[in-house]
Amino acid sequence: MAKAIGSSPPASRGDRLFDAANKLLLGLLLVLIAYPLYFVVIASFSDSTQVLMGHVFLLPEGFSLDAYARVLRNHDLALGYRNVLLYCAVGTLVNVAMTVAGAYPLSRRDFAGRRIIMLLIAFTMFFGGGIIPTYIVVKSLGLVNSMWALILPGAVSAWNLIIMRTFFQHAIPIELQESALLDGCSNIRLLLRIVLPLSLPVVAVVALYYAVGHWNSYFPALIYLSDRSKYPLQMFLRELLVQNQLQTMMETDSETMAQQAKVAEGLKYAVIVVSSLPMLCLYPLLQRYFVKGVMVGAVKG
Amino acid sequence: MNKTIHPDSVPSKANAKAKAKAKTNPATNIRSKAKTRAKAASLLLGTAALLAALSACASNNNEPAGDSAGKDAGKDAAPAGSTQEAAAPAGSAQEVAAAGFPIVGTPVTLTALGAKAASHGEWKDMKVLNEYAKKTNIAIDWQTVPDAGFEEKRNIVLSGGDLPDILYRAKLTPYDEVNYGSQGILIPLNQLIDQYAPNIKAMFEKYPEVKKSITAPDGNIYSLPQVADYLAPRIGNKQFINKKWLEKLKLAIPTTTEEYYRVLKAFKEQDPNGNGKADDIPWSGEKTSFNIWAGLRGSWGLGTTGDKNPNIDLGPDGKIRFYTIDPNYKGLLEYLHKLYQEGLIDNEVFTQETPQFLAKGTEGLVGSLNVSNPNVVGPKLMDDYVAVPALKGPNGDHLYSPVNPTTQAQGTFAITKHDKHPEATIRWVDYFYGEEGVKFFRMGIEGETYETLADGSVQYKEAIAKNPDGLSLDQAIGQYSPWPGGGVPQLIEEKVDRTGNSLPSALAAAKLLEPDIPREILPSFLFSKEDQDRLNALSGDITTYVNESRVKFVTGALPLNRYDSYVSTLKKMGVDELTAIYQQAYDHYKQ
Amino acid sequence: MLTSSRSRMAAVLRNWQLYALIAPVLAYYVVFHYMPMYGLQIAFKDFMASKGIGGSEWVGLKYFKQFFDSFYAGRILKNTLGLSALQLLVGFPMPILLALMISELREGRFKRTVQSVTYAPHFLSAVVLVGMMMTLLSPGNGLVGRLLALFGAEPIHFFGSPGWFKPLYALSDVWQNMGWASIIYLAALAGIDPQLYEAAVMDGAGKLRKMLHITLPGLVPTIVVLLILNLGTLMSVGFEKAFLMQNDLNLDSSEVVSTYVYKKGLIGAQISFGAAVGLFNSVINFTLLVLVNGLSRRCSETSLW
Repeated sequence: MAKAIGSSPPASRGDRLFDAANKLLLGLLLVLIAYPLYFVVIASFSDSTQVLMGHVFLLPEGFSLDAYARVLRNHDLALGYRNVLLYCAVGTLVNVAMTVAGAYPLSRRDFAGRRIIMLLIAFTMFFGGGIIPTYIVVKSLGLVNSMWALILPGAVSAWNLIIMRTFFQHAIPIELQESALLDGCSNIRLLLRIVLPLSLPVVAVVALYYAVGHWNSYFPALIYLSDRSKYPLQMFLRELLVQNQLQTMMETDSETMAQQAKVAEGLKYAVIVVSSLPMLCLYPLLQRYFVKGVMVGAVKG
Repeated sequence: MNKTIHPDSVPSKANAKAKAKAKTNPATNIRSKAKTRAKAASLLLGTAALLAALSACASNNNEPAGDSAGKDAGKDAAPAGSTQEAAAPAGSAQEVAAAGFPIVGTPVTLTALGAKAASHGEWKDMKVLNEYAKKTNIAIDWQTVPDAGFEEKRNIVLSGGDLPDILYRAKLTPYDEVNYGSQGILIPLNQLIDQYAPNIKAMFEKYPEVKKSITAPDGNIYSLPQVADYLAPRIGNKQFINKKWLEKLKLAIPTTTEEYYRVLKAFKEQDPNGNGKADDIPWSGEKTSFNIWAGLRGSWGLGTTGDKNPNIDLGPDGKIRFYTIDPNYKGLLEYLHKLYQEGLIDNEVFTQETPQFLAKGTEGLVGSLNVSNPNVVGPKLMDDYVAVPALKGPNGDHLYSPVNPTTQAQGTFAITKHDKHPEATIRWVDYFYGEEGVKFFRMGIEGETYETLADGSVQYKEAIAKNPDGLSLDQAIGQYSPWPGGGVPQLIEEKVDRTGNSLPSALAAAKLLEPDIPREILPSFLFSKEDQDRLNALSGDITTYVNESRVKFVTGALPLNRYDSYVSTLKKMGVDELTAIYQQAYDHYKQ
Repeated sequence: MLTSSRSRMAAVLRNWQLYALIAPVLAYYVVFHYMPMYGLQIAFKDFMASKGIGGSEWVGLKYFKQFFDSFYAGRILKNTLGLSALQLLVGFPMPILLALMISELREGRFKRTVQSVTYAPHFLSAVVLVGMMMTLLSPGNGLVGRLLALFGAEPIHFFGSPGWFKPLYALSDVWQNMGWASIIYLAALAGIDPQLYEAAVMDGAGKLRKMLHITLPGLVPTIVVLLILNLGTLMSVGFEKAFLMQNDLNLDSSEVVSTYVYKKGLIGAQISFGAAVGLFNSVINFTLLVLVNGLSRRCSETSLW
């Protein structure tokens, strides 16, 4: 873009109008999206009764740091953070490597068998054996109660693979690849030296998708981990927030239920803030890869 | 669209069993004409054969693992039970002391899967459990799963994983008990109780209905219950009313439904909280249980057998009745509709969650509510509320229906076929059904969590009752013992229960309601496999339809002149068959 | 014919590295997806834990029948499809629009802010999202109710009326995921050749025309692929948010397949029933995917296979 701005003639009236309208609309949208987010933040500093009674609008009511104190005092939190960071890092690495390894061959028109492989992969997006047979496979591989049970069964997402393949197909000029091959470049070299550097935007997106998926996932941990010290953050957070709405009140003391509901209500906004901060910070780091035309332009130019 | 054939062919070939067929099926399925299709087919076929082989070895690998208990899977319950009895003495029975501690001479370790409530600390660090382990010589390797995901994990473990020895705080539904019990995954406990569990046996003698309530149709007991020996905890929701508001408006505590209506009306119109705003909510509650309904149905003679079996009670003829199609039920709906229409019931009651409702209570906006005890509205206002007696209905009925049987919760504890020391296990759990064990379990460690007063009664120490770190009582004692959250194998005794249930307001309410509780309170029935199968198909939709229609009748979304078509729809949905199944279970229970 | 298969063989040999590359991925699919797939038969069996999947008794279409004979089958299918369709209709174009608008912004603080803020709601859990909606939309004391009152309008009981469920569900989804979903389009924009823009400027094209004639077409492959994938999920509405937003008053429009199966499962561990419904869903979804993909291959030359 920077290049375009430098060399373009002074903006026409139509362009200025276009820019103004664009900014206005986005500004409006920004407010609409930002207010509820702001609400989450002020609610996390407010007394939960005040929030529920609709007294919190612009500033925290009954300001308190209680919720944060409670969340941060939880001993498990640090453990959960450590575990999820590890799973996230290792898992995303495996995911991206596997997805590239699957997507690149499938993007090549001269790769015999790609249609049937693609079909077989797409098929798994819809049909699966269910939890129990998968559990049995994981168990027979000896993965139960290890980090790998959270990583290997979801090593490739067909969805992300398809997205990446589409990018390879349409954004990397095919002539470029052919000429490289004609020059005697091997397929692996071609992938590592030319295709991947040109595909950083999609690699970044897919890595982000995977990382966020690991960050938010709790079900595999629930099923496969029995050792509490291996629980990821979300397991602890869910434990903190769970409100047994489904169990009949009758079997326990409803005081217990009410207490727990109150505690959870007071914590939920703070929990969301604390748990999503790292992922919110991740995005700006990746943003620089999404600049229009930069990648291809750089190579050609 | 030649590819549309694949979805059918692939799964059928993936069947581990159909190895041989896998080679012929796809060939007939795929009417290959074009060359490419033939190629695709052969590739598919190759994959299929590979898959069949792979999944076959997977299941081979797996079978011995699943059977690690060393007993044949898939046996009927009775033989499994007898195998148990026959095989056990060789292993462990001789070492198990018939009475006294330790239970076993040489230390034993058992594995247990349990549901950890949010208010619990880590079970492996709980002093009560650890002290008890020392005392008994039985160490337990606790594998806990947070409440929210426990059932999923439990079912997967029972279906495909390594069985633990014990399920604790097991949340087994009647269906689960019969299902896993009849398959031999859970072992029958009858004989073990007879021989090794004096406390449980004594409890059975004192409360024969408890034994009946947990005995499956095949005569076996597959799980142990939570039992409460006094009334307050068994009435989950009691009706309370704001005494201050009544005094201010010079009204008496209502005794009939008509008076109750007039009181609520006055609450609505005369600004009892005195803030000059019409924000007073005569009655409020939360969406999961429209409990004003449960509280009032007895005034129309409905719900005569308690709260465990939705829509089912005993009619005047002594037969099982589906009471939400009874003519009286229409009267109750008319009454509730009148209340709703005139704004006497919070119009958010069908949509709001517990915290929203509690917030209104805490703000002092609510005149009447159904809760276990009024301290949920906070210490400032809790004393404003007093109990309402069972209201007399238009036909003179007065009954307070939502009461639990003595068996407060079923399916809290079970032993699996994997357990090599069932005798020791049953003795381990038996302690919590006897006086000493209950006190230890509920109150914790003397001098640390509780103290004994001069009159011999017990009370929690400050560290628990008024925790300096701001923990609630549940959370504080939950660091020592896993009873908070309920659903554990125990006998709750009034003497050693120091929770909201034993607060004066709750006890007073229970006392007030006691004369009007149902004479016969039925437990959740255990059905035979076939009956349960039918119920699974029937009851979900019927319950949904009843609950949904009730709410619609009350709000007016469904006018009451449609009541007859509501009844006939339910008939079409199979209410009669459902009633007959319950009748059968009831007859069996009465035998 | 011989030569063609020989040259095909040669192509395979020449690209052996590609096969080596994809081998672990194929192994992954075989081990973690195709090996457990024998579990599909659970839908046609009465699953007994002690007998395992293979040993359980065949019951044919019993559970499919149970689903279709159920009193609510019609309502559930209608709601599921209706909700999905609405979500697709509103939710699919918005991220594209957002990505186009963002791409027209100059690099700078405003652009970064828009990107980060629109991305953030994705991280709210369903519990927080629904809790917030209930608070803000409460007819008595919610912000929206008060704003309406300011303009003299009657308070609307959003959560208590069946008519509002689907719009609330779809709009909150747009709010939550618009920015998140636009990321992929922003990434795809990076692949557009800048020379195209330069050429367009030479021709005197304005910003709007550049957007419509260069940027948008550059996104088409991504749009088409995502549309195909989304159409292939038409029968799946997520469980958690629908369940949390549900109450007895709006069940007429809020009961969907996933919540229904969940409630059924509460009565008994109805593994087979759940599997049957799941399989039915998958068959519909997959058929749709195959159809749309075929259509797309003919019309736009973009397809999954």
